[in-house]
Amino acid sequence: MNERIDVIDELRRANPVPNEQADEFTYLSAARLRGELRGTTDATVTRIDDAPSSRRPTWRGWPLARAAAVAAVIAGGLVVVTGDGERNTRVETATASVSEPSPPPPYLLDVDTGERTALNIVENAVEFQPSPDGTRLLFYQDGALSIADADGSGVVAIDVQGGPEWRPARWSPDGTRIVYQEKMEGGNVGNLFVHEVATGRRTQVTHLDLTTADWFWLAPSFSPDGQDVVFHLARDASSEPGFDVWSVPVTGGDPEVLVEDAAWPRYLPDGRLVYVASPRSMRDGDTLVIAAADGSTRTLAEAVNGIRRVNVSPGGARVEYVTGDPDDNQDDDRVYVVAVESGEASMLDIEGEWVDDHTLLVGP
Amino acid sequence: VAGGMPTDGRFESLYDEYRAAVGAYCRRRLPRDAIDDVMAEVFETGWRRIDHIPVGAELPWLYGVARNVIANQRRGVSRRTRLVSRLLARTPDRRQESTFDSEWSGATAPILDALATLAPSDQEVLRLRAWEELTITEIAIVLGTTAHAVEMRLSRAKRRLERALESTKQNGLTEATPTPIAKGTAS
Repeated sequence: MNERIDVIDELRRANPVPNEQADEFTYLSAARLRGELRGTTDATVTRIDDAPSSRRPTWRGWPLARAAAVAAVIAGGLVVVTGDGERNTRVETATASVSEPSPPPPYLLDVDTGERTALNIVENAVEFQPSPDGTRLLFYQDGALSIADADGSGVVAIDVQGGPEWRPARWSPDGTRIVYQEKMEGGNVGNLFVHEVATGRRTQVTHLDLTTADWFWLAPSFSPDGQDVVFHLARDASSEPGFDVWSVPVTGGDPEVLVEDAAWPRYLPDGRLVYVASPRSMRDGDTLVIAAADGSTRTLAEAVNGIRRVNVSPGGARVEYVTGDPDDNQDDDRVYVVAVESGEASMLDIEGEWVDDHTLLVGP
Repeated sequence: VAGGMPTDGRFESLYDEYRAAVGAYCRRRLPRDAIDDVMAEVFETGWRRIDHIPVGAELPWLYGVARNVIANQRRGVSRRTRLVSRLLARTPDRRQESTFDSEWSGATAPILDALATLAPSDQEVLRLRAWEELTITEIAIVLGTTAHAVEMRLSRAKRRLERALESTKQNGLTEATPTPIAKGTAS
């Protein structure tokens, strides 16, 4: 293997303003700042576009409906978008009631009401994954994949070799196993492992050469009976490789193609499979499909840009997904929740992990 | 401040503690004459939103504001530049440059040339990691996204930068010139 260049280290050495010299580059005069603030009044603060800049809409050039939708999201409300299979950017109704600003993550988000409830659980942890029965949490803390009780007590680091990749690990439906993707040398993500919670036994379930793939994140999850792991895999290392959905037994073995030309697979509890159809890359799979056991399919949602990070609620009533070009500005990402049976979709202002069919856990 | 909201000294503390860091953030991305305006807007926003700034994550929050202010100014300047370009097309003997036409490029090195070939979003996540030395979680606050998304984006951006650096070196597009060295930076 060629010696890898640590580009972050090289970039750090080329920093035009090293942090040690930052004080020398403070140009703003106190007088200038005071002058700016003197012209600001309380009335200014109440305007909707005084939301944090990271959430502020760009009004100029936006269709009015989309701007209204963003404004509603800023205000803490939810936006109902088309549920008839049309493009998600069409907004039918918007609720713009002003609510309290979000508490800092982690918090619970009621996707029906928009209510947010602060959680005081594990500190310095990310990528929370509630267990199917809601009694435990899976998360990364200080780089270690860890389990704790739902109230944050009893933290136990899972002893894994090499350290897991910082991606959502997934519980099996019965809560006895966890599947995660390990990190490869050089920073990219590697093969899939299944960890048995009770015994700590760890099984490598895939033996893939991921250096041949353009997209390394396999997005693994369990089948409803917990006996298989499904994942997607890029066909090659080109920029538009195409993807297939694969399945492999939790005990390991040869993976088999489950769905050709598909990505982001997630099972519903009843055995139906949700996936993104025909993605050449992660920016152009614009149809979310639900497939029954008999092979029949129907479109669950469509988006202008690629759909990714598909996430099924525990009861299978709702599916959360993200749209937007992953190579473009992440501010353009949109998070949606679509009801499996009715197709009605809501746009959220942040992504989360399902606690139940109505609640997301939003982590830092 | 007359006509404004009392901040019980929190804003003043915020300004004193973070102005240097925010100034450095701007200096890494902007020409010198553009920094005052951006700094003013960043801290004006901080003053107005003082009760909404997450405790313990003040600096990433301010970086996030600065990022958006810079993006908004670039969009505005881009529009003006197009207008200027049209005018200059009629008066070819005059030349005018916009200070926001491109990323600040006061220093040059192969790694910076390679960085400049990437998409702006890739550039920013790499700079936040290498120059602002933020953690994944802090970068997520700046970009208004999740740590998961940041980790994925950073991984891909690093690979793209590796390829771009290799290509830059092979093509000999630049000759390395001395650049400032960050002393004692953490990994």
